[in-house]
Amino acid sequence: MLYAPDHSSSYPLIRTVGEAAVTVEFGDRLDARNNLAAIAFDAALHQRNLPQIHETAPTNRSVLIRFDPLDLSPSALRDLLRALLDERDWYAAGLPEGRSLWRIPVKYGDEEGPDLADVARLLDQTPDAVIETHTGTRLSVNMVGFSPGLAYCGALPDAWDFARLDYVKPEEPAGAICVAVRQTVIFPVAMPTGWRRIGLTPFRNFNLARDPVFLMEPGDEVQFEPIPKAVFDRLSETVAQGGDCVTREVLS
Amino acid sequence: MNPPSNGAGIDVLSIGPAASLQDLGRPGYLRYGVTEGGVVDLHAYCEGCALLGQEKGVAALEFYGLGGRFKASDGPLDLALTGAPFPASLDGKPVPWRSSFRLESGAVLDIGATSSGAYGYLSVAGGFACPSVMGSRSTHVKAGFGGHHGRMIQAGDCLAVGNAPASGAIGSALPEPGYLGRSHIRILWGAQAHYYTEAELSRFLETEFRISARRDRMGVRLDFEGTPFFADKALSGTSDAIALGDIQVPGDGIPAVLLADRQPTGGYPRIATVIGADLHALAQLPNGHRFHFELVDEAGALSSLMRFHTDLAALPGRCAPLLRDPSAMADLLSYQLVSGAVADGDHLPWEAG
Repeated sequence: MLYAPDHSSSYPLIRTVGEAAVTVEFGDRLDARNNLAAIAFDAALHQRNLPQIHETAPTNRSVLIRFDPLDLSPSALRDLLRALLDERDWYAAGLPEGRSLWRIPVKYGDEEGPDLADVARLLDQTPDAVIETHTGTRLSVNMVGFSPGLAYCGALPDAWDFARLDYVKPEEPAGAICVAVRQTVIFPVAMPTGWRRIGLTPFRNFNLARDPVFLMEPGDEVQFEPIPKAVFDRLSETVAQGGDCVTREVLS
Repeated sequence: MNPPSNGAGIDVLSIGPAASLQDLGRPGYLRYGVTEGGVVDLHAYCEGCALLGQEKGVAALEFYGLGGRFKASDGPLDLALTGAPFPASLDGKPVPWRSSFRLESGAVLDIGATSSGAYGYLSVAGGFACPSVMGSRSTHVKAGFGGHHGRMIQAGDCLAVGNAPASGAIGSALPEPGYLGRSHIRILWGAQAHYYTEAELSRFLETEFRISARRDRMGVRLDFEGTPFFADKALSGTSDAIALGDIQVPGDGIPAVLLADRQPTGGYPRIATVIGADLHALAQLPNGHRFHFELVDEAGALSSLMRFHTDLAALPGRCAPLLRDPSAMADLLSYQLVSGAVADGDHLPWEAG
C-alpha cells in the first residue's frame, strides 16, 4: 500500500499527526510512569524554547507538539525530538522543578457529593473512610483536557479503578469533585458527566477574571482538604467576590 | 487589531442559527484544555481582509448555511462578503459575492441561504470590536467566552465596529477560488491508522463519503454506504491531545473530521488527518456533498501547504476593481473577473488531467 502507516511499537515513539503536529508517545496506556515521562519531556522541550514550535500539550501518556512545518520541516523536528529522547531515560527523569502543590478545599457528601455513598459501596468502605483516602492521597495532575481547565488527577489506590456510570448525568455543577478509573476530575464549569460526584469545591481552575486564567499545570500536585458546609459557603462567597480559596506551595 | 469602537455598529435584524465572531484563533492554550478555535475557512477570512485592505487578525462574522439581515446603525460601514457564495442584496439590489462595498447608514444588507457551501464571512473595515480574551476575539461557544458575550449572534444584537483607517478599499472584487465543492480531500494517515487492517485502510480510501447534517465548528460527521470502520484493537482508555483535521472514529465506527472548536483531548482512534491545505475546503463542503479522501505523503502535504500560504499572501494583489456599477449589472452572481480568474501555479493534482 502507498505510504503505509507507522506500525512501530517500541516506546517512546514519535507519530505524525498531519504535517503540522507530532505526538511523542511514552506507552500505550495511562500509568504514572508514562505520564511522568510525558511531563518531564514536555518540560525539557519547553526549556529548548524553539520558536518554530507553536505549543505543546502533555496528556496521560503522550505529548502533542504543534509546529510550523514551513519553518521547521517535520523530518527535522522528528530528528530533533529523537535526539532529545535519546539524551536520557525519560521514564526515570523525575518531575520538573518549580511545580506547584495545590491544597483544594472540598465539602464531601450530602448534596455537595451525592455519589459518596455509592462510591463507599463500590469500595466496601464507610463514607468517612472514602473521604480519608481521598484527602490522604497526594495526586498529580495527569493532564488538563476535555474542556477548558478540567484537570485529571491521579492516581488513587487500585480499588478505585471502577468504571464511569453507564449513563450521563445531564449537568453537574462547577466545582464538582468526581471520581472514576483511579482518577479525580475537578470541574471548572458545569457540564454533563458519567463520573461519580463525591464532593464540591469553591475553587475554579478556569477563571477569566484572574491572571493567570488557568492555575493548574500538568505535573502539579493536588491534595484535597475536607471542609464543613459553613466553610464551603464562606469560601464560595470569597470566590464570588473575585478571591481564591486554594493555597499553592512551590515544590522543588 | 481592532481598535476601540467609534460608536459605529451593525444592527442584526435577523441571523442564521450558527453565526459567531471569529478571528485567527488563540493557539497556546491546548495544554489547559482550550483548542485554538478561529475561522474554519482561513482562505475566505483572508479574502475579506484583502478586499478591505486591512491586516489579518481582526474579527469577522462567520455564518453557517444562512446569513441574515443587517443595518448600519450609526454611520456608513465598509464591508466585504466572502466564503461559500450566498445571495446578497443591498436595499434590494444584488451585491456581487467576494467583493467590498459600502453600507450607508440606515441601509439594509440581506444575506440569504447557500446551497453550494457551508460558511460565509462578513468582514468590516476596522473589524468587529469586542474584548480580546486570551489573545483572541474568537467566540468559544461551548465554554462561553470570546466574541460577542461568548455566544452565537442573535437577532437584536448590535455589533460594535472598530475604528477603521480610511482606506477607500471598497468596490473591489476577487475571482472565485478553486476550493469550493471539491471531490477529493487530501489526508495523511493518522496517529492510530496502525489500529486498522490494510484492507480497512484501503476501504477508507475507496469509500465515497457524504457530508452529514451533524456538523458544527467542532467537527463534521460523515455518512457513507457500507459497514462502519472498526479498529483492529482499541485504545486502552487513554487520551491524547487532538490536532486540527484529525479524523476520529468513535465507538459506532462512523468517522468525523474534527475542526477548530473540537474537544482538546480524546481517546478514540484517529484513522487519518486532513492536510492543512485542505481544511478550509473540507469545512466548506455542503451537506450531502459526496467526496473521497485522497492519501498523499508528507512532502505532498508540505508543498500543498506552501502553495496555500503563497496563495493567501497573493490575495491583496488579486483584488481588482469592479469594472461596472454593481447595481446596474444584470447577473451579478455569475459575474467573473477576467484578470486573475485562475490562481497562478495553484493547479491541484486532480485538476491536472
